[in-house]
Amino acid sequence: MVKFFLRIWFLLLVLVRPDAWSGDLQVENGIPTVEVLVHNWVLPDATRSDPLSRANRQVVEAFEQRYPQIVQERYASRYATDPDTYGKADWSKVRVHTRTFAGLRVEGVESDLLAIAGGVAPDVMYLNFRRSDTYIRNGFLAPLDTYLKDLPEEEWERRVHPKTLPVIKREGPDGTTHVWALPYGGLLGKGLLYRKDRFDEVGLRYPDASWTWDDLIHACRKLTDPANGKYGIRLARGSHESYHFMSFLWSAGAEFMVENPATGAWSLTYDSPEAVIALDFYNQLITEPWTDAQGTVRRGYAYRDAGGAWGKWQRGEIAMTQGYMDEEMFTVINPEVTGLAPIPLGPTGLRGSELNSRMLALFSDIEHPVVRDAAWEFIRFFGSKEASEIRTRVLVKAGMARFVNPDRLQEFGYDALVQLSPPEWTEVYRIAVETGKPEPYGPQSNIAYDHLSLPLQEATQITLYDDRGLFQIPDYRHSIFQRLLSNSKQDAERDMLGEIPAEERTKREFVAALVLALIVVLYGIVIWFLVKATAAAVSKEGSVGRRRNQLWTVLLLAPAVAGITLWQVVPLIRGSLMAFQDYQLLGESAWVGVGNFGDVLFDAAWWESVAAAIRYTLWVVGLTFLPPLILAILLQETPRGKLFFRVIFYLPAVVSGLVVILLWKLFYEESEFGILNAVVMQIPAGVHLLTGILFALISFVMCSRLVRQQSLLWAGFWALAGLGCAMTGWNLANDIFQQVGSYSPFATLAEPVRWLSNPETAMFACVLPLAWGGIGPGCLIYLAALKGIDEQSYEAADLDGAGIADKILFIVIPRLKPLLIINFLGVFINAFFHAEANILAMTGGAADTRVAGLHIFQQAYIYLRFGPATAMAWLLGALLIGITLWQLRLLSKVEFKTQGSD
Amino acid sequence: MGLLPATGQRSTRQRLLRACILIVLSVGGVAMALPFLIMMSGATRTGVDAHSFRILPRFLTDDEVLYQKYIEGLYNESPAQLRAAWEEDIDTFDQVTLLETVDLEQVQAWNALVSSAPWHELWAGFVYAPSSRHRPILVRSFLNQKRRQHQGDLSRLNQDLHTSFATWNAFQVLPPDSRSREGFVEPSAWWMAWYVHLQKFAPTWTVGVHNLNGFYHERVTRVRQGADAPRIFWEDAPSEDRELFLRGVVNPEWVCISSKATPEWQAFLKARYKTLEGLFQATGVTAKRWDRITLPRDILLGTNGWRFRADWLAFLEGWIDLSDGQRYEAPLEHLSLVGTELTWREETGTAPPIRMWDQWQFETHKAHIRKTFLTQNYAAAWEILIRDGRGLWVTLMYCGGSVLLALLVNPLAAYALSRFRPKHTYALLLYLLMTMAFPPMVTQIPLFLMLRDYGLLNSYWALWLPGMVHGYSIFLLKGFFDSLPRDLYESAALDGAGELRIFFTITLGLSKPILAVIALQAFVTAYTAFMFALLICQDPEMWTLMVWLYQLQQTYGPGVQNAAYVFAAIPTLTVFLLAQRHILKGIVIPTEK
Repeated sequence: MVKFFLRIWFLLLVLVRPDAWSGDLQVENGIPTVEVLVHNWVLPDATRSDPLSRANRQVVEAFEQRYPQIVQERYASRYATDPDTYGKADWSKVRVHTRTFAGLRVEGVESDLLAIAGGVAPDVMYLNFRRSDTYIRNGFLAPLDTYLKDLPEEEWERRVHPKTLPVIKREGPDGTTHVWALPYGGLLGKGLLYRKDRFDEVGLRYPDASWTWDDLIHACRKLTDPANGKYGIRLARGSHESYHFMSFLWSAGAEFMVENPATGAWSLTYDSPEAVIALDFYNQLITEPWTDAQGTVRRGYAYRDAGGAWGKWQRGEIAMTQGYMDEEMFTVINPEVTGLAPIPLGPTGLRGSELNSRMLALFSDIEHPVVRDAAWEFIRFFGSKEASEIRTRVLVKAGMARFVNPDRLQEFGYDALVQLSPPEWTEVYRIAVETGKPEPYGPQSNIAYDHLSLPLQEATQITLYDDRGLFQIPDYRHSIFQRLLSNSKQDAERDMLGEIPAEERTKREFVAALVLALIVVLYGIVIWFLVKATAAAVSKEGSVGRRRNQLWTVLLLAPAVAGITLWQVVPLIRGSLMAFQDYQLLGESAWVGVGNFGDVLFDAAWWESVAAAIRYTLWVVGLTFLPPLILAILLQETPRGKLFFRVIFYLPAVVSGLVVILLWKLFYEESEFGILNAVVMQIPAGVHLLTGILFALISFVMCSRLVRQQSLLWAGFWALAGLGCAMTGWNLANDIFQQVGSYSPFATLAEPVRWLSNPETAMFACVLPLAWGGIGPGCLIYLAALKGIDEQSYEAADLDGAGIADKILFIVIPRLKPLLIINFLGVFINAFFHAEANILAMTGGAADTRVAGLHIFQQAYIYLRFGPATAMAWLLGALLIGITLWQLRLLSKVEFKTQGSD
Repeated sequence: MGLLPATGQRSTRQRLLRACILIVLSVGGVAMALPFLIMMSGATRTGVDAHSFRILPRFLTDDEVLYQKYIEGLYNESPAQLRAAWEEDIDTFDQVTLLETVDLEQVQAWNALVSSAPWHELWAGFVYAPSSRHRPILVRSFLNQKRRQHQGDLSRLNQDLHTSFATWNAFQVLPPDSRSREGFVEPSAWWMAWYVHLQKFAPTWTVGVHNLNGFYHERVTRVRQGADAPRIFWEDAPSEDRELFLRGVVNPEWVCISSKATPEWQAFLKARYKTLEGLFQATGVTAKRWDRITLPRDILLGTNGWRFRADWLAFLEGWIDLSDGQRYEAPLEHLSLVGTELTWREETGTAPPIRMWDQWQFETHKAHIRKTFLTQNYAAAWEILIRDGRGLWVTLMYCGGSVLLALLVNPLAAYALSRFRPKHTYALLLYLLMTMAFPPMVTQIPLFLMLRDYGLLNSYWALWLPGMVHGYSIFLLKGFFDSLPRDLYESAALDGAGELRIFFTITLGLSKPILAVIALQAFVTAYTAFMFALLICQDPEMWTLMVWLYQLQQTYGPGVQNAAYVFAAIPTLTVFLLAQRHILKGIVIPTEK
């Protein structure tokens, strides 16, 4: 036996090999091969055959060919003189390969930061303006200064537009200014794309540089025809709704975020009167009421669903949309049907659209210096003149010359092709760059869009539900919008800049300190209790005190004690410290006192997630606590097929955990063809009603028995449960009646249920699979316990004339009481603390299902805000401390017997 | 029988009750079992029958459904491509029907003509499944052949084909549409390998031939006049439509510029390059005089025209000389389309029998096609999860290690506490149990960061070590060991057995049921661990089965997903079957002291 274990253990040790994921240097027969990992948005897909991918592919191949020469010119001598650092190899034969980085994908969020935390970051990182601050501040980027010293002035000027400079050259976490990234492909400007065919159809002149907001809304009014699926303009919806709003904001003359050039301090400015004008106009595009040819009242002119927008645009069902223009290749649109115009002028004659740039940067934690050099050379080459020439050549050869910036055509000797590109495009691009404003790149600007989207959504909501017509009064409307923007700005100031008024800060810290003191006291009680409980559970008989035995004791206990210490206690201590830190993944973490707790306590999003966790827990308790008991009773009583049913109900346990969730996720398909919808849409309203009534009746029977026994509290509980069942049945039936418009008991649902995206059903849908998967395994323990109830008690009850309900209420339940309570607490605590995996896989937190656990997960691993996340974890634990205590008390009072030990 | 009274079993009320119980259990049983059957048969579905929930898939018995699935796969799930090929207005694949009869003579004549068609006229079906999102068989066969050829070494494949796949599972083929201008394929290593594969390995029933007339209708007539526009032969179309099609829409591979346009071609080149020297620099073509330069018939790869590709294109599309504003272009009357399908039309005066040809292919290979649909998603899931993804391997290592460690560390500690009764048993147990009282996230976040600091992320150690000790198991085990008769130890010790021997033979030997419970618990915890495994092993080489499933459901459609879930159920099913006795025995029931 010993040998067997040891052998297997040894085998395991041999088989385990930690694998380095990031790019590395391998030397085979003296020939070095460098592998560089590049972010997957940068590296073209060799399997795509579109010209742009092919052009970029050729650039990468050219880089791989040129690399040995580059090493010879710039690095070989240095590498050769210091083989300890760079490795011993024949550098004249060096080769390089680029590989895409393959990180995890987490639904609904950008998971790049997760990959960095998980140690699988690419060597060459992709940045845009909005992300730049987070990356620099967290120390994920290596300064490029040493490399840039060797970069010719001309190359620098070619790549870095003055408008990009402040984004890439800024203060790092060490307090000094460095260059952090290099752009490629020039500036990205924004223009207004329009379908010529749609404009022709309604007889409008095409947009041009003189177009204003008035022209835009006038055109929208003529172009929109929802009855035929046609819309004037495409706008976004959801957390990045503001991405399309930005152009309006700037065109009105407002700013999102400004930096004080003297102090370098950022401030948010999007609550100015100009911003109110912009919001007013934007809101008008979405909510303006009008009546179409059929007499139906319609609201607004925008198509706002992300899904299907591209197809609608292609089919010409959306007349206008905003689009990026690259400096090298303007855009791949068909000039025969699509036109390009500058963003329309705002009311003050100003125009502003977003400027952005694709940028490459070096990951700060690249282990091997040769890989770092190679990654830099990739960054340098990918945006070089040579690369630009290759791209231009490939595009021209592919017959795409008309899409290429005429300047590039001219530069690389294709001047004859310059006239192919529509002349107005050059002009539009020039205007876009000239009037463009950089995408916010100040502190935490990666969440800028999320913040600005909120007031937009609220404005839409309150305008649509304005019953009293107050919103037709401009002054009233403006004052409301002003308030929305100001509120949002305050929230954003807190989240993005960490700016909170001193007064507020003191208040928060005071509350946080109070709460913290309470938590400490509560946990003190828990530990005290634990001490007492364990003391009671362990008999204190004398020990065997031989020396040899002591040695054995220490030896045998060592792995367990060490394991608990290392993997539980140390993290616990570290976790309690982290909650008071602004924890940095790389670099020094600063102490922030009770700041994290203060912020979390006053964070609405956090409390919403706690509310979601409570709703989730209630659903879990409601759906998974009692059914196993009921099943066990049924199985106990069934006249035949006991074993068969037992096996059948146990089946779901075979597809464990995540598989159950994902399987049900397939069943939740939201069209009428989804399995669950197909079933549910067959159920007539009458069945819902009858089921509700049936359950209510059963409950009332139970209630009446309890009343007779004077156990009023539980009677009340059953009465409430009965009422709940009846209400649920009625509500389900009523939904059908409302949809169908009649009270026929045979009516069925007309619209498919949007299980996972409708907030009303989403949480239930997340929990239902747990009930399905848990009922069989859950009933085993009750079955075993039911067996322990002797026949005599039933027989005695029979003699007393007791019915089934009486026996359940007064024999079964009291006998199973300890088991029931322990299970109840287990289910409750488990649901409260372990909801996140289920929700992550089901909805990713959409539709009001972001439970506290998932919120903590996202804060920690997606946004890398480890300090606040730990503070949240402590608060979450504190919320349930009473129940934990109860559980501990109970556990210390009972003893466990296995079936086998009888 | 407890609740139902023993007396009066035959009364109506009793019978009714029993019947009710049976009905409720049966309904519940169906709800339990049905999802499994749907899961298993769901793995054979594609777009056409995705929404049929029959347990026995219809294509097994119904040839028409099988044919619909075949046509859907052959046309890469694109109704537009099917419409163009058959020149019939079909919007969804379930509208496809089998023809009563197939004219064999015509089909074979067409088949003979097609067998000599150049590569750009052919297209491969079963490579792209945008709506049912499975991994089509030609992609799989290409992947598997390349995998064999490179002995499973991905980096060598990346080097040879100039690709940059991060994992084998990233492997994909996006078929270019060689009918349209954007569909031109550069002869890169990757595409050459793909076409070679098609020629050598693609079964005949997976390859089709483009129908340009149908394409014309789809891209020009339908766009200009709407979906109801009547079908016409493209040569009868208005000349501006034809000009647009020739100059701007169709892939130049199909266009032939008649040699009658040679003077215009020479004038164009002269205007474009001014000198013969310039022409040489741009194209590598040497000529003594402008009028010696011939106009290439086409610009296929390997012909003289290849070198003129850009110029030829500009000549086709029309080019303006900036210096004098003069426009040069190939005259419309000298432009024509060439292709197998057009040859057929010229010879027979009828449309090519593509629909009949498809049906003929289908009927000849029916058995094979049926088998393909039955197994393809299972095979794909196997390749993705287990062969290339290593998901099963990582999971088995994780589970095996966890079980072994749990069975070793916890009983050892419990044994020490139970056998030697150290003075501080109480403090020790308290220490081992204490962390249970704290919320799990508080320890989880720092644990992750610690693993990161120790460089343990993406290794098995990170999976095994943190969950190794389970305080509550030690508590349970200690209680169990305490109940073992102490005389056994004494006598064994007297017989000269060492501590480890006593531990392994006596203690463990007598506690099999509880050990089974602990082992099972460790197995299930490891097997179902998802968030934890996702966080600490983000390297695709180290993804566990659960992480793979989570990733897979974001990429693949229901067919592959269902097949993957079936695979994921097999290990648990096996373990439960093997351990079912212990599961029942190991159930612990709390009773009040």
